Amino acid sequence: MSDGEARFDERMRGIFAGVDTSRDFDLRVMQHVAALGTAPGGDLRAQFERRRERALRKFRREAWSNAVTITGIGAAAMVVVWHNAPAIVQWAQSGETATVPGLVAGAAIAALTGGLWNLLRGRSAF
Amino acid sequence: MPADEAIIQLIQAGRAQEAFERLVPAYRRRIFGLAYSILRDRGAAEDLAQEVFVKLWQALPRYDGRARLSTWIYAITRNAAISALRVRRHSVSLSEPAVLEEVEGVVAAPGPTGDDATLRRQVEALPERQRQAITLYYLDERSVDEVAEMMGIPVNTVKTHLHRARANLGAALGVAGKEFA
Repeated sequence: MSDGEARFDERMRGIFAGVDTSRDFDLRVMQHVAALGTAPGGDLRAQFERRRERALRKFRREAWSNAVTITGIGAAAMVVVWHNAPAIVQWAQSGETATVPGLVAGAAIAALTGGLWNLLRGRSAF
Repeated sequence: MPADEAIIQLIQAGRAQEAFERLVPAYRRRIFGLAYSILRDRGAAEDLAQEVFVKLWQALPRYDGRARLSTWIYAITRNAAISALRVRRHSVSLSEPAVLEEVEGVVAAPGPTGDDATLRRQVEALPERQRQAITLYYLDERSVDEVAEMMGIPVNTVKTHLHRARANLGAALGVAGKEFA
């Protein structure tokens, strides 16, 4: 390094001398983070918990509405079968197929049972 | 860097509070220096450094070790400083007292007098990247490698910026120009 370069370096260091943080910088940082009132990353954890809660509420709402829908369909199917039993039996005996009324009634009972089961399970989970 | 290794170990052990307590003194000067090199104002740089440490406090458990700790911290600092600079440029006009005060503060900052004040003005007049490189290089006598990491650019680019900055300063200062051009 030439003398000129050394002098230049010296002058450059000189113009930045004294450019520093205030003495209580570290203390203020600690006060800032203490004011947040959480552990490091606490905000993130809180955010995660809030999102998780929201997702759980959404799933519960959806499960409830699904259960009510299935129960409704099952009940409606049962009412239809109950009210039209003679016609259904007659139609079945006409020789088309003997298993249709059984299948319809089975499906209705299954839907009703499934819906009720979901409903009761959902209620106990809440 | 040994301090970084200890900090990373503490983070990985889930002891983020202790990690942060070590990180503050280890990075205070570097975060402040990087902020100062971008914002060109001591007070603004200090405020930004405080803000960056709060961001680090919140983000520390998320550090996954894929990038070097210093690289990660410098990236957060650069982004925060550039955002602050953008906000400042958009929110004040050149005629506002705050700007005049800042300009006067830069020119008449305590410390350098006479020739040094001239040199400081010449540094302020350099193109942004050259000024940033030379500020980081001389503020804490950092290596070119570290300046490159702080600026997030290749080492050779930093060398080019430093060379051009010196040449510009030398030319502007007359005699010194012959020595460094």
